[in-house]
Amino acid sequence: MRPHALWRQLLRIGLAAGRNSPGGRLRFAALITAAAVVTLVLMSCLAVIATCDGWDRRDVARGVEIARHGDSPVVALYKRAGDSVGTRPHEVVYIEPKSPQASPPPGLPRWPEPGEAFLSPELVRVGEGEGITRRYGKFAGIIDSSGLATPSERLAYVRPAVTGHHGWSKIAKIGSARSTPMGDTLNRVPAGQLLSAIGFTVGGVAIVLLVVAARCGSSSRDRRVRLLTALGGNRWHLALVNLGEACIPVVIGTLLGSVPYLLMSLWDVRIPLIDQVVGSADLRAWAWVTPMVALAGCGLMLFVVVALHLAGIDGGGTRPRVFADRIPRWRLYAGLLGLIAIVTTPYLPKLTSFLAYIAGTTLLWGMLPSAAGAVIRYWGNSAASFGRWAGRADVLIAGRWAHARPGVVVRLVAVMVIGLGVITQAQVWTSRLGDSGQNARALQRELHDSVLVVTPQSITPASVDAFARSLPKNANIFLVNTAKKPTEPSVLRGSCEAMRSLGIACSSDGDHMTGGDARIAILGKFIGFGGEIKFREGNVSGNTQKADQIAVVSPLGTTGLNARVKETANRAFGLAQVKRPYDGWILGADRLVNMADWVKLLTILTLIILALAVAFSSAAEFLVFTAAVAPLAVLTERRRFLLGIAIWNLTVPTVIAVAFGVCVAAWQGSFFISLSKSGMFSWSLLAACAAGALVLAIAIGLIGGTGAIRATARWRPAAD
Amino acid sequence: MLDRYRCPPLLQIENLGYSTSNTRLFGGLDLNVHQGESVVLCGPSGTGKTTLLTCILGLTKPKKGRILVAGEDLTGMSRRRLASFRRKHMGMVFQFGELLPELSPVENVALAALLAGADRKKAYDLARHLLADLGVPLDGAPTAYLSGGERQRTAVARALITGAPLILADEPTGALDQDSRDSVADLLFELPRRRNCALLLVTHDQAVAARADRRLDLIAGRLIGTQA
Repeated sequence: MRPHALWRQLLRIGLAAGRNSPGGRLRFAALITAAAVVTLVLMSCLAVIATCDGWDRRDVARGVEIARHGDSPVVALYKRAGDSVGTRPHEVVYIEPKSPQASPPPGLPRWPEPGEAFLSPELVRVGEGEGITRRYGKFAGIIDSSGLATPSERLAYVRPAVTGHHGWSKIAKIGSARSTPMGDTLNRVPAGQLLSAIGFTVGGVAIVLLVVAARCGSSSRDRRVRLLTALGGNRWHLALVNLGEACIPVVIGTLLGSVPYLLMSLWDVRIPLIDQVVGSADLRAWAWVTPMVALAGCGLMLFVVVALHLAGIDGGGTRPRVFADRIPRWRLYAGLLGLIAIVTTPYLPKLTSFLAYIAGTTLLWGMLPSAAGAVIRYWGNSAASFGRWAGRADVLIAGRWAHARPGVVVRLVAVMVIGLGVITQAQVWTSRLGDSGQNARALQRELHDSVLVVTPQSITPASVDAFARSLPKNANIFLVNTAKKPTEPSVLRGSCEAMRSLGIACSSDGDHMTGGDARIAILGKFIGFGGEIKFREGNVSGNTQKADQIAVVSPLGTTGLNARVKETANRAFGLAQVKRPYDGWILGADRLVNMADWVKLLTILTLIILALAVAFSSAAEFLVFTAAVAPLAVLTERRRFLLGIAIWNLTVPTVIAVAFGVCVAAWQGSFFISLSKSGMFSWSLLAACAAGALVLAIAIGLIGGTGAIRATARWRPAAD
Repeated sequence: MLDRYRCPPLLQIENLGYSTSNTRLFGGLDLNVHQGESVVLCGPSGTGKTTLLTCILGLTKPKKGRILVAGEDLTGMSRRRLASFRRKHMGMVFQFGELLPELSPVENVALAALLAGADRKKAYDLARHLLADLGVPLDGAPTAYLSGGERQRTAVARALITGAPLILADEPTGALDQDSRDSVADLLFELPRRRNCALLLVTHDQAVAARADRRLDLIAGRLIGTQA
């Protein structure tokens, strides 16, 4: 045969083998899924690069260059401040144009007029409930995507109606690579870090899924490889056959895996859990690379598939062993030791208890597959006895298989239980706030908006009057003269009514206050040096010269005042920052929550892919088992009992494992919280994961069962 | 002429025709097998012996002709009716036994009865009885630990448990050593006499073929030998 005809023939043999070999459909589906997942991971990396590239370009375009020399031309003045919607912080950029020729910052169609503000679409969306469009003055419009780091950035450009610009910076130029980061860039995870995280987590398990998919139904393929070798075929010939078998599903999977990137190039998409929007324009700019990435990914996957089968040329027999080896007892004892280590942690010194918890958890989860193996064997024996007693052929066979070869079920069970454990531990660990965060949450629960501190750009009697008039009746104000020296107390001046609302006797002389009402205590910590403050009765609008802040005090537990005071303060003073005393800690903690969301997303994705890999591996091995029962099933025309075997052999143990995993995860998560006295346990996350695991358990049983029914339907005696 | 030939044949094949896309396996094949009779089917590989068995089992649809078992035509039966009829009237022994190695011999044998809808207790009692009768150990050890001969005896017991009057066997001794082959062949050829069933056995082994009441050779789509 001519060489070019031979390679075509070998490819054709591979294509035919893919269609007709036992478990061919399952491998086809597994390879499509694996190729789609690998391509998705590669496309995610491309999306990260594209987003970071667009982000960098927009950062440079909106970056400001500060005028450092007195003679530099000044195009505008600017000042940056922080604000928040709920407990999530955002940046507010105050600007004042100084040159008529100067272009406005990117994303703005024009310079805002005095008292106007441009807001990002995300800020408008999330701040709707707090009246964000009224907070900084008149809403002039939204900031275009060209002026935002990402479409989900919360940013405001405000031109306050003030005359003085004390503390503002002079801008020589807008559009500089040497600017200090602003907005979302402050919390940006470096591209390299994100790519490494994606590569090591979802990328790693995507490769595992590819290997599992490639090896689905491998026994018949390995025999074919050996046959071709015996017939004189070299590695090139074997590669061609394997290539023919794998190329169609891999190409389909690659195409499917590329679709999300292409769709995301057309529309902005919000990523669940991390609540960030991926800009379609950024992805469009790099869309020309997608064919190359897809082609490279496809080539790489085909190489892996072919290489995996070439590696087995010189291997031994591929006949599955009937009975698995006994599980060494020491593994069970080690797992028990891990459990004891966890339980005893509360009685150990702090550092030792932490180490014992980590070591115990590792040991417990590490030995879990062995423990699961022992349990599955026991369960298999019991199920077989029950099947025999009840005359249920499916339960009898499923039980005997589980007892003889628990590996398939053990892998499934281990991934489910460890998966649930890892997700809940990731959630619990990342929900920890530390002592400051915990205290801040406690203060938030007690105070809500009952103490607000306003820092205006400038204070005048008229503006204080206007501000006081616009507040609700149960809110009182104190003008604050912040102490300049640690030895002096800060003085809060307010009306008798305001002082009485805090439970203080009305006096023009004033008392040093360090304790008492929770509101006084927090004001002391927030305003006074060393917690010392002094209240003095007086007219608030008549004593504004030395005042630098205003405290707004309302009854304990008042809610919904924060947003209103922010709006009122900006209107009365032109520019004012409003803070709750605990905001600093809470907002800092929310940044951690953002990181925690990333951890959760990557953990969940990793485990979903791992679960898929295990599901395919289990269903494929189940097909190998069911080949033995095919003759009986065909002759008696009882094919549906194969579904029963699959349900009893795969689904039921997995459901039991999920129930066990939920109990372990809930116990260990709650235990960790009581041990560390911080964090919170998300029952909704655990419930969602458990529901997902149950769906997967049912799906595996159905896939395995229907696959076996299909494979059995094709069986015919072939002894001749 | 023996008495059994006075009764209508248990298996009656009339003018059976079957061909694959490019080969005609048999054109107008006739065969009768009576109760209490053993018939072996020999012939070169690829002539369609196993296909003939699958036609009798109803797993392969012939192009023409009729297959009657106990007087009923299988070729016109619905799939459900055929399955029920097969469970009741036919038992099959395969070359490699096709048993589940993880199950005990009793469980393997009882399984066929359970799937045929038999009562649980009766199925296990009958399985034990049959296996004891055929000399298979009943110690509860998995079938994987049995010898080749014991496994084939278990497969025979499984074919017999539903009380099928027609036993089909496809190369049942093909994978056995000589001693095991002889013992399994003895067992199979005793069945028609002991149980008054009909046995149709496919083999290449001349020594096994010589033990049958009749021998037929399937050559070029025709059965050559003594027809009843």
